[in-house]
Amino acid sequence: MKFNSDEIASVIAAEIENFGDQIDVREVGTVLEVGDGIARVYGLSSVMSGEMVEFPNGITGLAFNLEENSVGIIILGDYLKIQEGDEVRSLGKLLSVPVGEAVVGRVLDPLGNPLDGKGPVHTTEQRPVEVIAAGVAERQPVKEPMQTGIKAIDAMTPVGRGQRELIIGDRKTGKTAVAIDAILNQKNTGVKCFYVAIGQKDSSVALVIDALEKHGAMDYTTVIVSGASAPAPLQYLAPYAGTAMAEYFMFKGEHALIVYDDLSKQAVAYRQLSLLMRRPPGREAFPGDVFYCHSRLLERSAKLSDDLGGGSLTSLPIIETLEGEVSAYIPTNVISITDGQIYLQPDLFFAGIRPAMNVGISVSRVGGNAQIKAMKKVAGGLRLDLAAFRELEAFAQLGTELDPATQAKLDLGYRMVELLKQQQYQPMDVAEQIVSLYAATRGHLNEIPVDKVRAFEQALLNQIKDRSPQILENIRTGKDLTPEIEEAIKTAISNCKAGFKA
Amino acid sequence: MQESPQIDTVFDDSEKHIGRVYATALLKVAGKANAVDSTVDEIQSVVNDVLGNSPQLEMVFKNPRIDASAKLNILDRLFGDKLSGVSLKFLKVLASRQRLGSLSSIAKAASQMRDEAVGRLQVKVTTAQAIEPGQMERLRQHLATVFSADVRVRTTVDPAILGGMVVRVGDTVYDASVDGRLRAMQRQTKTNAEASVRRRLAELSL
Repeated sequence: MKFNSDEIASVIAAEIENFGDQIDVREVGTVLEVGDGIARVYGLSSVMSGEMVEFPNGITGLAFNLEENSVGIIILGDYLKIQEGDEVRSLGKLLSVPVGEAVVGRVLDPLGNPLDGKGPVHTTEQRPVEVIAAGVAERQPVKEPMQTGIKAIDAMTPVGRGQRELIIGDRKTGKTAVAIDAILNQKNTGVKCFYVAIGQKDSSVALVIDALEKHGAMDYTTVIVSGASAPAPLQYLAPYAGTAMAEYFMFKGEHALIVYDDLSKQAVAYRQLSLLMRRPPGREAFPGDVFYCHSRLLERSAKLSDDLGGGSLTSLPIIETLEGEVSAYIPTNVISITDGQIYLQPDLFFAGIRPAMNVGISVSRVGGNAQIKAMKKVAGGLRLDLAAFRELEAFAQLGTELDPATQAKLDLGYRMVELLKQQQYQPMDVAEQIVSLYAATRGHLNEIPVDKVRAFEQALLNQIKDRSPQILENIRTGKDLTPEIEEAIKTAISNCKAGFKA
Repeated sequence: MQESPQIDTVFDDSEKHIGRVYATALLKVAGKANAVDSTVDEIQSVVNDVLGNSPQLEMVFKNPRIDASAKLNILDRLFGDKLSGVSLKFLKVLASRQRLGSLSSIAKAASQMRDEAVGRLQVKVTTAQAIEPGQMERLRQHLATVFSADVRVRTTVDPAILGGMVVRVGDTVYDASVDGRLRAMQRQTKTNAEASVRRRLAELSL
């Protein structure tokens, strides 16, 4: 099908004929100074905070600081093209980004401009970037599980739809990997995913996009990129823009998952803006409202009431700590805002325990509500048991003689730790997780040598998938661990043990 | 009457503040003497006609190393018989406090505050060609009824707007120029035409 040029010409002619000839009324100001992504403007006397303004060459900005005699504007675009004395006009609207089905599968900048070379985003709908989060009456408790596909997380710190679960840890501890696995696991669940890369190296973002594409996750994922070379205003805005796109699906009654990778970089961008705007610095030179910057963002994740369609927006913010310092300003802020955190530790990571989750201080405040019954049954006391095992393990390293009960606890613990290890990009189905965890927590793995636990798990799951797939099917549909299913799993385990060459 | 100069991009908050403080005092005194307009015009004239034409004098006024008494002498010699009592006294007060350097911002603030007080509006009109005096008067009267204020019109000629006129009141610009309308048309046509082409495409592919 082709469009001929006459047709387009006639469309344009019709547009010109219908052009409403009105006097253009605008409020203007003059650029006093410009640099570092911000501009100070004289005039714009009735501009409102957060209002969009336009510079002569079509670059937009946001009124950020309203001072007595001037307005501080953050520039969303190339500030090198703006000059002193340029006319700035206020647009009388809030910053909005394109939303809708058209953004899915795309790589966009925080203003919704495509970065993937796949042409313009075909959508007519827009949503304001900054909106007030849903109120108390519009929400309902988080009960529905949001499976991440990672055994350790789904068993011990379950995430529910509408929850905010922080992923926190030093550099190179697998924070992004956890988030990417969670995105991969949303395949065929109808959950739309959004990955917001803030202040990241463009090379690592390219790797993430590549991984998402390879595993078929780009069909339901949008990537919003403001890399390390993007101006600070764009880095600051990226999470809000991504949330606006995700909220579209939430208010449509669908489910969305958003990953902010990472909010420490956003806080740094915000600090830069605030300091350039001469807002007074506070702790660690962050401005006083850096808490509000994150709280209003994360508050927008919600599980909506059934009246509003019951949609949800789950967020996985990421925070990078320095040398495990969780008591720094931004980590404590975000820890207190979110409904739990997954704490990743470098020493565990290097000991080969991946995901390197420290179960002792990782929590999910939504807890068992976000687990299906069967998972609750197999993973009930797992977190506390593992935490106790860590203490015991430290004690056992002293080389003292141990009584048999303690030794048994240790044996179980070693096997549990081994079982919770999981390869990257291999999220597991919840039914399979339940079978594995059942085998371990009920002590069925005690005869298997520790280094063979994962091989055995694989053999067991393969055998069940091949010979008795109804077990998995029953768990998926019934969501409960009935005595019959338990019996079936037990038989499968003993069958597998018989055939398993240790 | 002299007009305040265009908004310049050199911007000094504290200077503006000083300007407002002294201007308030000046207007108060001038009000008592019933000579607000003439006083403000005199100060404006000192800034535009005297200081504007003689940068050396401005440098002398701004120089803090020159004694206040020397500045007072200069003021007496220059303006002693030309300025009214209020204006001259005011300049002397400035000199004794070493604030003569802020004279231009004081003058600007004073004229702004006077305009506000009497409901006078400064309107800047830009046209592509010079306006004839008859048209000018009609325009002034029309603007006066539209804004219901005593309007002072300042005109500039800018051939780049092609035709029509651009009226600026404070920070608000009323753009009825040919250039502005062409731009608006370009913007609107571009978005609407794109949308309707896309709509037709969707219809065709259904």
